[in-house]
Formats: sequence, C-alpha cells, structure tokens
Amino acid sequence: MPVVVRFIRQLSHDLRNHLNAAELQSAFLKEIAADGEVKSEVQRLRVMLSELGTALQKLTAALAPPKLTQMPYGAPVFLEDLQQKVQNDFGADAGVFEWDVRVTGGMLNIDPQLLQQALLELLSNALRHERGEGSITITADAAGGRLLLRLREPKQAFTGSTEEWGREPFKHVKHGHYGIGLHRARGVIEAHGGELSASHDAAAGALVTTVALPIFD
Amino acid sequence: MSADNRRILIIDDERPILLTLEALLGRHGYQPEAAATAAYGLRVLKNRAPALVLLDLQLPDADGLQMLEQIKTEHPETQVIILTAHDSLNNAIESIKRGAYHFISKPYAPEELLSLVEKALEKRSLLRETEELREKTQQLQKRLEIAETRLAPVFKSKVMQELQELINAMAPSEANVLITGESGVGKEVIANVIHTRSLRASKPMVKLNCAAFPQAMIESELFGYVKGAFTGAMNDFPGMIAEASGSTLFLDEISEMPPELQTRFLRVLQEREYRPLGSTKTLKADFRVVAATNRPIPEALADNRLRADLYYRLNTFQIEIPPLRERKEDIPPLVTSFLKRFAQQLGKAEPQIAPEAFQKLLDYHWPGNVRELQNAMEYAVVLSRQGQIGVKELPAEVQLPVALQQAERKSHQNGGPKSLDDLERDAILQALAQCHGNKKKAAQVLGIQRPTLYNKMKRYAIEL
Repeated sequence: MPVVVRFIRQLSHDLRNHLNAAELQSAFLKEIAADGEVKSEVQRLRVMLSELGTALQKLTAALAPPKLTQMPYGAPVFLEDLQQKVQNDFGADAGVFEWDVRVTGGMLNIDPQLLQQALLELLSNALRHERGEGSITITADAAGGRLLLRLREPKQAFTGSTEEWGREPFKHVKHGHYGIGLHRARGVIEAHGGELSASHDAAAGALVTTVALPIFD
Repeated sequence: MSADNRRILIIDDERPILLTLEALLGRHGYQPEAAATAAYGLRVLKNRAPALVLLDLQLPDADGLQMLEQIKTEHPETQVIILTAHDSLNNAIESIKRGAYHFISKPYAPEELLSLVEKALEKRSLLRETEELREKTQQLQKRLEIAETRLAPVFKSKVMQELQELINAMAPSEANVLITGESGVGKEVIANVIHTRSLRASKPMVKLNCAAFPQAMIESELFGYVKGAFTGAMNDFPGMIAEASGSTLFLDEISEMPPELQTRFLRVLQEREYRPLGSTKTLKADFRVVAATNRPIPEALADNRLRADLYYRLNTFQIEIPPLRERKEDIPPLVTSFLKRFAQQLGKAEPQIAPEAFQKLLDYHWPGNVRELQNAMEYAVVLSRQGQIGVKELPAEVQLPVALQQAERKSHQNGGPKSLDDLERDAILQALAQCHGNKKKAAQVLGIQRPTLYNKMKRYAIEL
C-alpha cells in the first residue's frame, strides 16, 4: 500500500504543476481578451481549473504522513473551538448535531488544527453517509486519563465491518469520494497517541465512533 | 537577516490555526504574534512593525481584502501572505493584485507555509537592501554633483576661455606647469583640471602645500624616509614623490619651500631620481609636476623665495589666473554654481538672487577672489528666506556702496602726497565706509554737523 500511496502523491503533485501552468495561461488569456463574453468564459475555465487543483491538493495533503505541531491545549477550549467550527462550516446542517460535553478541565497535547480537521472529517462523514432519522449526538467525557469523544449516528442496519475502521485507504471509492478521509483521520488521531474505533449498536440502531485521546491534569 | 525581520503577525479568528501557526513559527526561530481580530492586528502592526503578516481573508470585524489594502498602504514594506479557506482563484488573484506576496489555502502544509514565509522575508530583505542602495546611490550622486560643482572651474570670460584652450592643449603632455595668481583665484582647481585631462588621470593627484608644513618637515614629506633616518622615524614612509608615481604632484605655495630643498627638488626634476632620507637606495621618480604660487614671480625671484633655476624648470607652461575683478563675466556662472552647491548641502531649495543683490555682487571688488565669492554665497544661502537672497543676505562688505568700497580700498593702500581737498574727500568716504553709510554716525566720527556732511558730500560728488 505505501507504494500506491507514494505513486498517487507523486502523480497528484505532477498534475497540480500542470494545472498551475494552465491556470496561469487562462489568467493571461483573460487579461488579453477584449470581448466581455470571452472574458467571462475564460473566468469560468479558471474556476474549474482552480477546483481541480484544490482537489488534488487535498488528495496530496490527505495522503501525506501527518506532521504535528503539538502544544498544550485546554480540552474544554478545544471542544468549544470544534463546536464553533462546526457552526461556521456546516451551516444549516450544524443543527443536526447534538452536543453533550461533560469535560470541564484537563489538558491535551495536540496539534489543534490537524486534530480539529480529523474530527471534522468524522462529523462530515456521519452527515454525508446514509443515516437514519434523528440527530447525531456527540458526547465528550474524560475518564481514566483519556478524553473520550463518542459520535453516535442513527443507523438501523449496518452490514459492514468496523474492525479495520479507517485502517485501509481507498476502501470505499465512488464519484467525488476516494476513501482517504477516514484513513487520514485515524492517522492524525494515532499520531496524537489516541485511538479510533467504531461499533454498531444494533439495539439502539446507531453507529458509534469513539475517539480516545490522552488527557492530562 | 536582522532581528526585526523575523517578526511575524498572524491575523486569524480561528484559535486552533492561530495557535498552531504561532507555535510552528516560534519553533522555527521566528517571532510570531497572534491577533484574533483585524482591529488588534492593526494595533500590532502600528506598534511592532512586523516584517510579515499572515492574514486570514475571513475576519469577524473586517473584510480581509480591504485589510490587505490598508496594510499595503500604511506599511508598504510589510509582506503579506493570505491564508484562505476559500481557495477560489478569484480571491487569490485579487489578493496578489492588491499587493499580497502569495496566498496559501487552509489546511496548509507546514513545510509549504515555512518555505513561503522564508521567501516572503527574503523578498522584504531584498526590497529593503534595494531601497538602501537606491538611497546611497542618490546620496553619492548628490555628493558627486557637489564635488563636480566644487571642482569645475568657470571659463566664461574671454581670458578664461583662452586659458582653457591652453590647458586643453598642454594637459595631455608631460610638461611642467607653473600656475600663478592671487590668493583665492582657483589655482588648485586649475591644477585638478590639468591632471584630469592628462594621461596620468587614472591615478589621483598628490598635493603638497609647502606653506602648510614646517620647513623641516617638507623634505621628509616630499622625499620620504626609512625607519631610523631621524629621531621619530619609527617606520618607513614612502613620501609624496613615491605616492605621485605615475600621477601628478601638485606643489602649492612653491615659493614657501626652503631654498636648499628647492635645489634638491630641481635635481629630482632633472635626473628623475631621488633618495629617501636615510636610504642608500636611489629610486626612480615618475611624476609630472604642477606648481603654484600666489606671489608675483618677479618679486619672488628678487626676494630669493623662488630659485631662478627651479622657476625656469617649472615654467615650461605658465598659467596666470586673473583676479575675479578682472573677469566679471565669470561671476554669474560662479554664483549659479555656488548657489546650487550650498543649497544642496543645506537641503534647501536653490534660492533666487534679487536683481539689486546681484548688482552688488557684480560691483564688489572681490579682493579674496573666487574663494571670497564662494564664502559670500554660502553666507547668503544660509541666511536666505523663502527662496530669496536680497542685499541684506550678503556680507556687510559686499553691501557697501561702490564709492565706499573704493574709499576703504584706498585706506589700505599707500599713496603719495595729496591735495587738501583729496584728503578731505577721502576722510569723508572712509568715515562713511566705517559707519556702513550711516551719515549721522559718519558726521559724529568726523566731528562735524550732519548738514555740513551733506554739503561736503555734494561738493565732492559723493553719492550713496
């Protein structure tokens, strides 16, 4: 698998270089175009190229091994930031999430930006993928030197296995989805000394994803 | 890179990004400062003048692009890297158009960000160096202009034009030159012109003012000495003749050189060899000599101040620079050149001379020649107000009416017996000159009533 990952990263990098050149060329075309309609069409082309470049950039970043800039960070502050980010980024969908935060103290040693992205990926997956009726609840607890974040999404029927949850990239590939987000999230959580696991609670009809991170006084 | 050049301001309202960036940059030797709002960021910018700003385009209290514009207007040297989650090309290109160094999409890769930061700081450093070099070049250009103005003689009058033709013809030769003229006429300036137009111009001219050294020292200055040649000769000193090798040796006030040294120097000119003091080695002398004196040559020869044999040796070409009073056409261009130079030196706009003040400059006798005119112009530029030089801004002696100037000059000259009328006229003129034209005071000095003074002035046709 590492060989495939390296191949994709290199390919993505090379394609981005070509796209950058194409973007520059289109920017030049727009500058020299005299006709308003042509200008506007070239502009559309530029936006398309830009989106392609961004997608490749995300792919490259997601496949790169996480490099952490760790620092002591208050656990309640981190959770507050996470809720704030969900509010900002998810718009109306943010209302789907129900928060139950019971953490009032403790410190994390984290790269807050990377860890926040990893958790946002989990929340985004929960929102995007098929889910049943009801809210997605997020519970945060501190126990036994661990910060436990539990993400419970309604899911009556779940046929897949949760044993290798996020360990293999490219597991579920479909249009616009490459199966690397969850893998990346696991990589980031583990780089922090944490764990990611999932289980299906058939009785409650919910898929529960748990993130455990070391917490200090 | 200087310490202040590593100060980086991060403006972003997202705490995780703000703190991660602060930690990342701090660990790589930068001095980061975090601001969660535009308002706080602007305060930091004002007080700490960071070299670089990492700016989020989405801020709670300001539009990122407008903020960028404000930063580039108020702190043009500060580089800005845009942090944008909205990685649309429009925002990025717009930010570059408004002066950002680059942009980076969130989430950023640390190595990509650090590389951009380093490049942005390098750019700032280069811009600063360029700016410093530009300033230095401008200063040097100014100095050069001043130096050129200082050194450029004026060849406007007919007599100076003839002199220029002579210089042009003989400067490229190896002929010795003797420059004569009153003190302040510009003998050294002419010597410089001869040197710069000679084949020896690639090396600087070496100057020795024979009147500026005690007579005993001139010999060692000129010929040089070896260590131990005399008490106090702690090291070898090559001397002016050696220094002037391949160049021109300008000997100012040659008639002040002791006669026995003149003989020794004459031998150097004849044999093209010399020996430093205390040395047994004879060295080759390869210089062209340009000498100058302000003493009238016949007088200097008669007084034995200048040896005849040296005079004839030096006098291959003699250039006699006439006093300024005999070439008044040169005054206007000289005035222009001095005004420009002193205005530049004092950082003032070049002042204009009022016509009546200009007339005073033309009327004055200039006993101190060009040097006196130069001093008068410096005085006038210092005193000039609102870009104007009037009569009042000229030195007192230049302001005097012509008649009084003549009287003052006469008082310094010895004359033969005079008629009583002449004596009385001279006494009145001298009193008026002494009192700077104040008739009341002049009458008091003369011990007469003011009306009597008026009558006598009328009688002797004295007009002020």
